[in-house]
Amino acid sequence: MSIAAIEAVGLGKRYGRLGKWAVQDCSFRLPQGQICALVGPNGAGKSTLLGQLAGLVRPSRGELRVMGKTPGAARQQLAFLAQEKPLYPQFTIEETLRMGQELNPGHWDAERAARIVKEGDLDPGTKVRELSGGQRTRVALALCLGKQPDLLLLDEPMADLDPLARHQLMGNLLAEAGESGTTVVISSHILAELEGACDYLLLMENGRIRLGGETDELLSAHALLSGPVTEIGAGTTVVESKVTGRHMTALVRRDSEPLGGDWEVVEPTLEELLLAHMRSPQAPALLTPSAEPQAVRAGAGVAA
Amino acid sequence: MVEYRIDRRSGVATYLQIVQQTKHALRLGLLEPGDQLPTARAVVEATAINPNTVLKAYRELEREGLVEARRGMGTFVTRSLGAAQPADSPLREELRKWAERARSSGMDKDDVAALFTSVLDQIFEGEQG
Amino acid sequence: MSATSSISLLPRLSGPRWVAAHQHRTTGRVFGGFVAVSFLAVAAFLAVSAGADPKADFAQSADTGMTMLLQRVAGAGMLLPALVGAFVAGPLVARELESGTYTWLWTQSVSPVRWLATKLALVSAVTLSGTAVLVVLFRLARGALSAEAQFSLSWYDTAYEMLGPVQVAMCALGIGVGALVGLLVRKTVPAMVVAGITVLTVAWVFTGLLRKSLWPVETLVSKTPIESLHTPAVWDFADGMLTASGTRVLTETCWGTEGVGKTPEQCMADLGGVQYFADVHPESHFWPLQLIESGLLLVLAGLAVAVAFRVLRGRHAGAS
Repeated sequence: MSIAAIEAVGLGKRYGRLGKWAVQDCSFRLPQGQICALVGPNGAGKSTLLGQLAGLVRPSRGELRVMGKTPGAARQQLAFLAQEKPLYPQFTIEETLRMGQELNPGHWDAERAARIVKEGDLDPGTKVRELSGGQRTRVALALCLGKQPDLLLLDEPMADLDPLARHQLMGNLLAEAGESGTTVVISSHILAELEGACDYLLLMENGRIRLGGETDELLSAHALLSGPVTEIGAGTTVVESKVTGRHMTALVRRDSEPLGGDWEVVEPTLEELLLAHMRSPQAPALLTPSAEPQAVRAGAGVAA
Repeated sequence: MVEYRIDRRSGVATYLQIVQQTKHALRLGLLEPGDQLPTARAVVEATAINPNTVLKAYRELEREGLVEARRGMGTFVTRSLGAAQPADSPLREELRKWAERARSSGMDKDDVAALFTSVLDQIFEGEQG
Repeated sequence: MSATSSISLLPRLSGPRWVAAHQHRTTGRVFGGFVAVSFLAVAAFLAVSAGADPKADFAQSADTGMTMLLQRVAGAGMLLPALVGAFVAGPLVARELESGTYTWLWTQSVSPVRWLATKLALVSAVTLSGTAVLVVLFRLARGALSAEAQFSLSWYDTAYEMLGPVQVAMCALGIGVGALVGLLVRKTVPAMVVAGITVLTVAWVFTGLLRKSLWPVETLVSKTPIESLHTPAVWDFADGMLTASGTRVLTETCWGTEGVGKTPEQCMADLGGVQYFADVHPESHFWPLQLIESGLLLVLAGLAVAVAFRVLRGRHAGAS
């Protein structure tokens, strides 16, 4: 099996010695070339996890490999865009891109960065402080993609954009990523923004990964049942069930076929799958085989 | 050239929407052998869907022998869907007459569509769209 | 100034050096301008005082004017290291942490450690060479003053720092303290305040407490009152008379005796004083004192920088 873009085992981060664990017992694997949605409610630990992946936050425990290396060693191969899209306000777009070139000698694609800026009809002489939110995101994205990363980490990149800017930027981003085979992780608490764009999914809640794997496989591993109130077989994991009078709906794992009973069985939509899990904190975590971490490097200690 | 419209709420898998829309264009003669499909990049930029989805759809069309990927040039239509009927074909004429009869019998558009679909489903049962 | 022209002003910088220089070019220009203006002012003054009859009116007013200016400069000289510290702590370091630009900077091919090292090297090169030039200018200007004017700029007083490497070393300390405080405080304005106050405190500790002990004090003993105590050449911090048994009677114990018709000398003689003494640093101690103090300041600066890098490495995975 080729090197995973990300492999985390028992990853944890606690701020301060007695603080709450922002990320805990977090284990998953992300194969290369995927466009992965990192979804979860606000405060789930998405930003902390991304910070760890980017090498900005030192894990309190656990092991982490990015492109087979520690995040610090993988710095040439990864790019990170924080939620605030921080850029120097006094720099022009041109100077900002020059900065990307200066800090990534030898593997900066100036043409690509310039193309992304141009697709947004931006004048390179404009100062960053004069840009709108969407334009700023575009420049920040150009800076990330100009670096030609193998792994691109985006923290809520589209949160403050209008739908048109969001659609255009997402289109540019996916086209660039698709062409270069870049693995992308996009965090968001709004699912609609990512549906259709992502073929891989990580659902994070309370610092843990609750669902991980190919979107298709996660969906087909679940079934949405509806019918008269019936006992569901003991071998079936029930994520969530709701009874309305004599009618009942349930989201279950297809871990024991056949499901039996007098059910109407359909595959849930992504939204139904995620909402059911978020409403049912007791439901066990599920990782598809490709999302299961292989042993990182035996006895490699805390990856730092 | 076709332009794909992706409906995220339709419940139909995105790659299937691309396959179906391509076939639709082939049937209507909007795409003919030798025509180029939009590049995956162009589709992704326009629709903001996953690039792998577009590639999957194109591979499916290729597997069905409808298109062919030429290295470094793009994806080209190799075969039209021959069953497509020109606007003045006898079958179309028959269907038009049938639809007029349905309307004069008091059915509205939805009734006619439902009837038509249910007959189609019955006749083509077991075949993939 | 437009982007292109400022880029062309820095033709040879590349990599993180270009970024840091470009980021802080305005501050750099202001500081450079200040050094240049100082240079012109001192050059003009030297030209005037070299060519003119010292009795001439304009030469005398130039002398008085330059004396007043140098007194101000010497008095404000203490502020320069504090300003350097505040600049490094705030705009150079903490602002990146506060505004979040570090999330981008530290995920580039260039590591955070190299980022900090580059910034500190660049600011050191500019600040320390600029300060060294200011010190040389100060010495040249003071040297050209009339003898009586030099009285008011004595070597051990407010002018002390500006007369030698201590001022440069203080600025180096400002850079070290600034880097450390910036990384710890992580907010621009509070970091500037903390760094500025810290540098001023260290400067005050050296000026007020440590400086005179940095080199062995010389004790002058004489049968007659020691005249050199009343010249700018000697830094005097204890004087009085010795009794026959060698016990010290300090002049200050006899202060205020003029009221009862005695000079302090008569008063001390009454208390058994037989000869005069004074604990002093003669002017020959200037360089040893300057060099030792500079050395200590540089060690402190180095320590602060080392701790700053430790903080950086400890906080962030993959910093090195």
